[in-house]
Amino acid sequence: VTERRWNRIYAAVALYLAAIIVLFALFTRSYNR
Amino acid sequence: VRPLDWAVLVGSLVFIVLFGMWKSRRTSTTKDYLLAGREMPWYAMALSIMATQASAITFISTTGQAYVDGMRFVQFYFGLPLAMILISKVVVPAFHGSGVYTAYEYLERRFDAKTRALVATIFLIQRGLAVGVALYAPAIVLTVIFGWPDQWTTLLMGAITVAYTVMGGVRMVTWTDFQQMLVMMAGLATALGMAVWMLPADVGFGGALTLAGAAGRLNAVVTSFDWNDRYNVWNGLLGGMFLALAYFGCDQSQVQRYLTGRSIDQSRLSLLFNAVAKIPMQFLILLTGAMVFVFYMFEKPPILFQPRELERVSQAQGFGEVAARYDRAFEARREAARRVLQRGGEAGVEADFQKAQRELDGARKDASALAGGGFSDTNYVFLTFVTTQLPAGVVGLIMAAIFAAAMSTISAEINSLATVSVIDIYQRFARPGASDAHYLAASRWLTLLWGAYAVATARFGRGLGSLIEAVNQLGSLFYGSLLGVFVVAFFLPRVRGGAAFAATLAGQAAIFAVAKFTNVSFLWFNVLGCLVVVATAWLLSLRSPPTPTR
Repeated sequence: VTERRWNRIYAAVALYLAAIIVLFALFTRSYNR
Repeated sequence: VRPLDWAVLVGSLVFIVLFGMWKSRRTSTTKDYLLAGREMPWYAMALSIMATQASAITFISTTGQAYVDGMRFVQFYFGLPLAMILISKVVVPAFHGSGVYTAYEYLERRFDAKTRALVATIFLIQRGLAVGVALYAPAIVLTVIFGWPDQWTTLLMGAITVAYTVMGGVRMVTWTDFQQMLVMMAGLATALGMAVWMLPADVGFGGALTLAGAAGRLNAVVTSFDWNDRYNVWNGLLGGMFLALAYFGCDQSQVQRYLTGRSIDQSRLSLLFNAVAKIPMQFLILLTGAMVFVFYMFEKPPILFQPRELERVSQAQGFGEVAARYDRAFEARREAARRVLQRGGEAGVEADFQKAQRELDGARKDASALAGGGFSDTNYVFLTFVTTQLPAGVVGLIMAAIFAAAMSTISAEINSLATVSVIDIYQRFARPGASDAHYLAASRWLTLLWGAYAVATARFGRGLGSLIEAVNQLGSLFYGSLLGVFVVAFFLPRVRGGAAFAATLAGQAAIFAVAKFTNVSFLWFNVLGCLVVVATAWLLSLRSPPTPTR
């Protein structure tokens, strides 16, 4: 796998993390009091 | 513990060890023993990394954490994927390319022998302090819950783990970790499934989320900032990233997992698997705790989950009043919970529920205070649920998972302690130039020695009580400077050995000072120690030319 391909994978992982945090924040907002 | 539980527990232990023995049957050189011949596939390393990180206490207490405090603990892992990206990009190619056996060996190539020796010693102290606790802490919990003598639990767990680690080295450790992680995942999935399934029929999963949320247990993201509180999204991202960088990038007990990789790509994949899988897994563990919390809204839990403390406190003066208050609060909360489910939108319904919850928490706190405090009730929540509510077989599976969690952590730790002792100290300073067979034998002996040391500190650490926990926390004081010296190695080409050595000592001094004189959460020690090391090394090297790359 080339280094450029790896950089794209890293970007995807970072996006995934952002998505998870947003999802958890929505989860917290809709259920937690 | 019923016969079926014993069968599941013993069966899984035996299978895991036999599988590991079969997988590691070709171990004839030091490179085999310490690096698995550098031929591990990514999935074995990925689960080994995960299993090493998950200690038995993490496994036992995380669910309890959600019960007592809610899910905000999950934020602690938000920095982990970022750390994994940085390590994959920078650290993995550097370690793989230089063909080192340990992270600290790399420091000699970059700096000098004294920096390597200093950092290897810091690792040996820090891991050496922790390894006994990894064995002792779960033994204590199992003793209290099952009444087994903790001397025997420690010895049994310790002896099996040391025996197979001595026998097969890192290949054995990796393949047993792999199986042990699968057992843990099976245990966790079953626990979550059972917790949801055992909710009253009219509550269901959706109702349970409503109730857990109304009690403030679904606080997965907290955005308010507080320096002294490690569980908010900012501390989780930044502090958690530094902690994960130190742990996965500079701690040989983790570095050795991915040094065994067949290639840079395989090692990177194993780390990125953890980057993706870790947070959802922790979320599900905490969700299990939240479901157990809701289960105990309709089935009265003991006022304290630690059975020995409960027995002691029930004889204390004033306990009758606290217990009566607890009973009333429980009834009130149960009624209020039903009302929340039936007509949650109406004014005052949720407030009544939360008031009852506060009273219940208050009574629990008072009972804990009557017992004199000084113990963690959180560690006993999940196991109390498991042993009193779950059917035969499932209890055995969860026990097998706890054993697996303890053994996978300990095996990796003694394996890495032995590796650093042999490669960075013995071979480098005491006995250079001996034959490969000699170092292989030395590795086996040192594994045995570190294993015996772990069992001994766990067995005789009993009398030390909370001191051993204090010592364990002391161990976490070393990470910042460890991380700092590696950051310098990778990013500041001008810095030479002398400056790196002095900067590491300066970072260590700074952390000790902050720990002694301030209240700052320990998560920030890593950030601070790292920054002090980097700044000192940079200042000391302003005038030196860049180091030629070797």
